[in-house]
Amino acid sequence: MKNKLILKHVSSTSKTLMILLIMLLVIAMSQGIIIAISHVIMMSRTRASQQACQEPVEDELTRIKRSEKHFMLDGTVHQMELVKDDFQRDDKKQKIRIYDVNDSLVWQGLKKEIPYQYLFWPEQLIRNWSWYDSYTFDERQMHNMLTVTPELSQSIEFPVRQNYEIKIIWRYIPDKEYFVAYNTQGGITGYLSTAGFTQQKSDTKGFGQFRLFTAWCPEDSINPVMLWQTDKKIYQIDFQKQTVELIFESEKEIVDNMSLKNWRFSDRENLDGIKYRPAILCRTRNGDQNLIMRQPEQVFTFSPPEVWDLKEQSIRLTATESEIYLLRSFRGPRVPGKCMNSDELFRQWRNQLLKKPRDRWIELYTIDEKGELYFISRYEWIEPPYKTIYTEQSVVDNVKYFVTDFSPPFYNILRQGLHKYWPNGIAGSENESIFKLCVALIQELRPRHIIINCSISFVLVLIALWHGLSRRDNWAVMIVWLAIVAVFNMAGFLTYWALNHRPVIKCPACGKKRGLAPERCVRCGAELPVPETREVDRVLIVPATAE
Amino acid sequence: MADVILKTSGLTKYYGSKLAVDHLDLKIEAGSICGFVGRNGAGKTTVIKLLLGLLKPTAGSASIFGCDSQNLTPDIRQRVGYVAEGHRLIRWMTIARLEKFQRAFFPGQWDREFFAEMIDYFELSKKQKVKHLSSGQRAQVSLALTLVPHPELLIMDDPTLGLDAAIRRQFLEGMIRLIMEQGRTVLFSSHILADVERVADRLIVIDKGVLRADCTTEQFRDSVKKVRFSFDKTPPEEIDIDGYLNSRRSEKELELTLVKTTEQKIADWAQKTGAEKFDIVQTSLEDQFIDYTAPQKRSRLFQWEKD
Amino acid sequence: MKFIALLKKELRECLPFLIGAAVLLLVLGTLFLRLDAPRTYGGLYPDFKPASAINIYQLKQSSSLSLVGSLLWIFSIALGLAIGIRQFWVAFYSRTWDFEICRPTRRAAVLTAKITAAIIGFVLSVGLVWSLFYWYASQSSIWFTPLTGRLLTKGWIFIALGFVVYLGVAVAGLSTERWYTTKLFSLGLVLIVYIACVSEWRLWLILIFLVIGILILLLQVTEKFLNRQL
Repeated sequence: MKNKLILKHVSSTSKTLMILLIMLLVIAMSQGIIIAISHVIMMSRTRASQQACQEPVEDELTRIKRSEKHFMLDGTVHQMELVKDDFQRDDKKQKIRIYDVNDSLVWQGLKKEIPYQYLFWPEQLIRNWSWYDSYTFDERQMHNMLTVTPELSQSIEFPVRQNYEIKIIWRYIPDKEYFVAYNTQGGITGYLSTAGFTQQKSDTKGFGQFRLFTAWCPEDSINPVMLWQTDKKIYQIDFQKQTVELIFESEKEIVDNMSLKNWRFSDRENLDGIKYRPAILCRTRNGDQNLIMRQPEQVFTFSPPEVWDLKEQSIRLTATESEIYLLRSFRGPRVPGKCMNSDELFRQWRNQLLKKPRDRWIELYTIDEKGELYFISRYEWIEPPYKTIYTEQSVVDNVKYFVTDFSPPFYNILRQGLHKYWPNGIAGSENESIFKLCVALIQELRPRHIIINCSISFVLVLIALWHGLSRRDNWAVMIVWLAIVAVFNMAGFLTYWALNHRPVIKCPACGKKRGLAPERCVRCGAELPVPETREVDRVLIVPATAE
Repeated sequence: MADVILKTSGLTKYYGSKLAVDHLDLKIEAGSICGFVGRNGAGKTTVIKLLLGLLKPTAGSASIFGCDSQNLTPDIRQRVGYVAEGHRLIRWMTIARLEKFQRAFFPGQWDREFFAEMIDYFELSKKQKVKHLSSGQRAQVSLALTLVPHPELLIMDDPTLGLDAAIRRQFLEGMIRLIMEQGRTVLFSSHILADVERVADRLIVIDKGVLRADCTTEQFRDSVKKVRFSFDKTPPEEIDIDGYLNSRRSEKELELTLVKTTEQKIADWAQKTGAEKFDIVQTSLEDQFIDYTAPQKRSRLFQWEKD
Repeated sequence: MKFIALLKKELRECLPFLIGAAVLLLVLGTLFLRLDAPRTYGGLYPDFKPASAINIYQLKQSSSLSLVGSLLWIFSIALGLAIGIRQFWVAFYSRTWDFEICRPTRRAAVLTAKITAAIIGFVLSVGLVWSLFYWYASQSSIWFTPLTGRLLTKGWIFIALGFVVYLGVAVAGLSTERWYTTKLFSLGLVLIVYIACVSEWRLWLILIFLVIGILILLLQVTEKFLNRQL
């Protein structure tokens, strides 16, 4: 009997949780659908308020804004504009126009025929969103590969071939974080890990948390070489030579991103005649720029001065045979703190900013071995104000603000907590999967009007109270339910409604409604009514046994 | 005094806000054969299911062999045989398989020879599948499966439902024979009063969830009378005789259903109202039941009722 | 003996579905099994030339059982639906619930028999066939690298998800709510567990989701079955 009671309580609690979870999902889906429908309907009908353009030279400013700015070795700046009406897939066949700092056209023709030598900077390795055309593999793809899908299982494998015939296959083992080599008979021939090539599994040491890799075949081989980035290290792995080389190690900070210049194919990248040293540029989370160079081997770390606001500026480094250059560019003012948590304030700030012309600049420096900066040149320009600014909330936003009034109030508290725990945001972080989905839902569907949201909660609590007063078993359970409705808003109310729709009857003693579950009326304490017995029934009820 | 096998105390059941069983108090002794009768929707099946623990009462309690119905142990269940309404059995099983399945639950209690005899008696083959049996044959198999473990208490919910007269007769005869031999306690519900009259020694009448009668069949037969009074004028509107249940009147006649009214009182009333004569109408148990459970102010539906 | 009788009865009732699923999976899986080489997009390493960047897509190798995995996924769900409906819906609609429950045995034993039969069914039907495929593919493939243990585990996760579907259908069948929307709520939880499991890459977390989902549904099934009124 006791076990039955325990089972009943545990089951009842789990059922409530289950229904609550489902209701949260249903509410979220409904909100999402309504917002999506409003998007579709209002896409062509969103009102915009027109703002007057500020000056007649807008076209010129726009051209300057859209042009690529390039420095030459002596600091001269040119603006390179792509001729848009002749867009070419092959970059080299693209027609361009080159302007100087006085906005005078100095040259035009095909990109491959540029007569000037510009400084080019390492290209960041980022995953291409294209399904079939990607040369970078990051942790998100690795996770996707490991998930339970109908395709069941995929693995990353690198072949080592001789005369185009596969001799060895190197497979990455995600759980162990190392590579295993299989010969053509399926036998294991060795392992590649941070301990280098080993033949015993016991000698291996895993690479650590994987972040990103890129692979290529060197100029003299058809077998792959790879750059493998983990949290704090970068390795170069040569599968043919069976070597693992630690290229870079950050002592404390996590490596944020990696860019390459001439590292993979030296000759192909020296198109403009400038001899670059093979380099990897990686930025660590504290803002340091680490340039790992070859010819000769050298690792150079540049820590930006504190006065440089890295939220407003970006830094890039590149190394030629003689110098290390630094490019510093101003991206725009940082978002004020108070605007981070308020869509409305952010919009106001952004519109204020976009209404006016905005200053931009880039600077070129050289850096010596000691890290001393030597200014070479600076170029400034103005970005024109936007032609159209949405100063009014779109209807879509209004719809979103309306539907989110039915979200649980605690979404805002959760969101603030998440910001604290994941200050860089959940997007792109190592935490993918269902957690990211939940976090994205919370961020998107959090209530914007706190007062209206709480008022709705309050009204729903009152409705639940009115409904539950006559049906209650006891006050404790009633209060728990009211708390659920208050905390979870519409989802909590629907859960209450689904699980508490019990019948009521009229109490014969007090005439008020009462539930059937309790033995006595919760208002007057009367028991369930006893039927009227007819006189004749008393005559004919003659039990066999009289106690 | 015999043991009380079945007992209910204030047994109440609501379906939603609809009252199905209303404060039912019953006691059934060992060895009695009780016919459980009532109109459609009276609550007979509900009571049976409450007794067997298939339903949870809203209030009150029920017990079998002293064990609360909500917590019937396997040992108690082994002593109870239940024939459900409609005789629903597992359709894909053959009779032999069904026997094997049922046998597993009555170790040491199952009488294989008796089962074979019963199947023989009903002219069935063990290889037949349940889905190929007629409803009458299913009823027979159901009865066999229930009786073979020799349960002390037999509860049957409308066991002759849907059976034709011949099969019903056969079923009842089989049932009677077996019951008489073993001295079991039986509670069976039925719409067919003739069957109840043949078999039951006690009658339990339930109407709209309320117990209306719990007495021997004989007591019921003796107590419920239909008396026809003939008048030379319009019969009196007011009827103030003891035990009056309901009436039916025509131009010069008045038929009264009376419960436990003595002949003397009938005669006195006849004299008092100026009736020319009165006759006690011979009625069947069915007629008595209908009159007993008719609503007092029921509206007349058909024209012949209004006339 | 009582439990064995109940178990035999349940297994016999589910047998057509179990055999059907196993045979169909075997036949279709054999058709889709590719033992010659794993699938790569664009052929085997066409970009692996001197001084060329490697398209990552060519490095991702699918196993020869990848299409079998799709079938396994479908059959697990179908089996869960079929067994759940057979055990917990048909009894009510064919009104044999009274006969099944009024046995001289505890209701818990009847329920245990049903669930045990379902587990045995999953294991011996799709589970066995899947394991057979895995074993056969690992012996017969001409590709160098062996099948991973993770592959086998993922297949079993699909089968476990089929069991979650079965429990969800069971809870829905035992539910006494009148409206179908509230009656089918448990399938909402099944969907949540499904999404959680297939969007997660960490095996230990997948197992946790599965265990939590199964526990909640099992609790619901147990409580509803023991207290079911008809």
